[in-house]
Amino acid sequence: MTGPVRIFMVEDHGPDVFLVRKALHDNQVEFHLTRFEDGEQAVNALLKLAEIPHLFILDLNVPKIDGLELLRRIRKNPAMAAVPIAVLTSSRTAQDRLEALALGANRFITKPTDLPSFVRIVGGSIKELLDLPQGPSAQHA
Amino acid sequence: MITTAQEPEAETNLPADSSYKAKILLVDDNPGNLLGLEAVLESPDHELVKANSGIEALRFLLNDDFAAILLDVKMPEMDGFETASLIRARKRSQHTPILFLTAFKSDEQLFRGYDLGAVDFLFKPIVPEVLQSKVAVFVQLSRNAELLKRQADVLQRAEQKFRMFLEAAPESEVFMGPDGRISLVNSRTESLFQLKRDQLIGEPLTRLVPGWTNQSPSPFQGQLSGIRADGSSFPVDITSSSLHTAEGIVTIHAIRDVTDRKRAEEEIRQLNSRLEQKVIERTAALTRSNDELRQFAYVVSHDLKEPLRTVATFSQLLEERLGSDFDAEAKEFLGYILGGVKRMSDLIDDLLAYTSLDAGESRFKPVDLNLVLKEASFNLLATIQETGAVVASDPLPEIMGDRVQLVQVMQNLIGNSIKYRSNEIPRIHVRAEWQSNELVVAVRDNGIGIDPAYSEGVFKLFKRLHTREEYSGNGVGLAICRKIVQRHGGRIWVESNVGQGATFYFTIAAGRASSAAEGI
Repeated sequence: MTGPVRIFMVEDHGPDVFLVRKALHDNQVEFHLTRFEDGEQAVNALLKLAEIPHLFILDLNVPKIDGLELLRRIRKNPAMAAVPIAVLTSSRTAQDRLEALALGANRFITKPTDLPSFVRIVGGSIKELLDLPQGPSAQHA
Repeated sequence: MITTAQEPEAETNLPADSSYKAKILLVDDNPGNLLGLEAVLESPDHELVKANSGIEALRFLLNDDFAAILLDVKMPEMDGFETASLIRARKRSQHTPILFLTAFKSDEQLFRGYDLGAVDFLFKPIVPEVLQSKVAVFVQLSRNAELLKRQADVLQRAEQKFRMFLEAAPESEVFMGPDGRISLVNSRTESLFQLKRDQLIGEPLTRLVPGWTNQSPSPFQGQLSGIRADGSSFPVDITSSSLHTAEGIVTIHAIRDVTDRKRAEEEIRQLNSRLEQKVIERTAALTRSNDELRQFAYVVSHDLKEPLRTVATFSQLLEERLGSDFDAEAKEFLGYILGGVKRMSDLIDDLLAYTSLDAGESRFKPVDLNLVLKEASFNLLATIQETGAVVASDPLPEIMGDRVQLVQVMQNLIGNSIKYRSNEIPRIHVRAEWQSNELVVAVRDNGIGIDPAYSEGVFKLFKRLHTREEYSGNGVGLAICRKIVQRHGGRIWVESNVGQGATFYFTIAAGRASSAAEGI
């Protein structure tokens, strides 16, 4: 992969976008992140998409069109059927996990509640999904 | 007739009590003749009444009935024929047999006598045996007549009694003759169907009960509809039984108006269905509130913890960015922020666990308490290793329960024992024994103990006995234990004194857990 990875992130909670950027940065990932505040924005953008992203990061509980529905639509689009998707949510219910994975999510990450874990787990998982070499800080992801 | 009556076996037809004694009236103007007749006819079987003239004879006949009258033809003033004609004129005596006594055997006399209703003639001189045998015949006839009369009386009384009972019967009684037509009804039938007796006699039963189809003589019982004269119908209970009589099969139908009973049954049915409806509605409401509770739990877990996570991560971010500028005090403050967030987060988790105990279904299965203890100890491994606590137990039995919940109870109790330890190494011992139909489990420790004044209060939600500086904890753990134990049909309590350790007891009902475990 050459150049920065293109990441589409659907997240209504600003601070978490900041934390994801920090996690990517701290894990030495070169990235270009586009953020959508709700599911509808994301769907509209995907419809007139010029370039297909290398990775989706989806929160489940977002306004208008929720994360699971987004997952379904992305996976139905042949052009994006193989793009890795990480669900990043504060939900820890087995039900959500099962449903997300069944709909084609590659990872289901419950947002860690402290900063070091967030950086390590989220950053490490994304690198794995993008098939990037793991740094020493992500060995236990 | 006469010869038949003379047959000896006819005697057996006499009434057994023979209070009845036949009377023979002897009529002759000659006292000597009367004495002669009396001498010949004297017998315990009958009574002889003597009259000296036709007038006297008639006087006796006024008040009495006689089996036979022996009448002398030739008497002064009023002769035998004249007397006989007067006897015949009276209704009471018009059939009483008369035997004329005469010395003359003239055809004229015979014709006149027979014309007057004589039964026989006896010619003087009287032959005693002939007289005796003739009188015996009349006595026998009289007795038979009396017997018939008595039997008729008995029959009439029985009939009257039967009619009385029939009329007094609380239900409609309908008799059906061998021709399948109504032969007899009681007055209840008239009032019930609003029809007169004469409108019913000779009618088929279907006139009253159109649905009646049973033709067999076997007993029948069922519910059909009765129909009144005005065409209105009403529910009836009908019971039929048949009787084989000389005339053929008579069927008796007892018909009872069950309108009131039907109405009561209908009311009960409606009440039941209303009750059922209510139960369904309540169950639906409970299910809804359970669902809402689950929904609420989800919202709590997601939305309440979200801000906490932000507080925690960005406090840490601040420390990362400004860490070098932080003095000891600022770092202490940061510790307070993170500690507060951690406590709040744990509290939310515990409250969730507490409320979801009610919402979840119970999964009662055989559970080995030894494994429960092992699992609880494993969950507490870090704390146990850290404090060097010793957890031991007697062999524990298997019970019916929810394994996950029981592990929670054991873990909370042992965790408490370690948390509230004294200066000694924590030693915890678990044992259990059956007492009647419940298992009593005891968890004993050598910790700081509990003031007996608080032995009830510790199980209440949010009840804490110590400041946070002394011991961490949020006052939910024992409340969870109590709720789980209650769901297993048991109780929980503590026996302790300050400084002497504490023993927590809880019971589990044997076999299937009680209704407390049904999840509502």
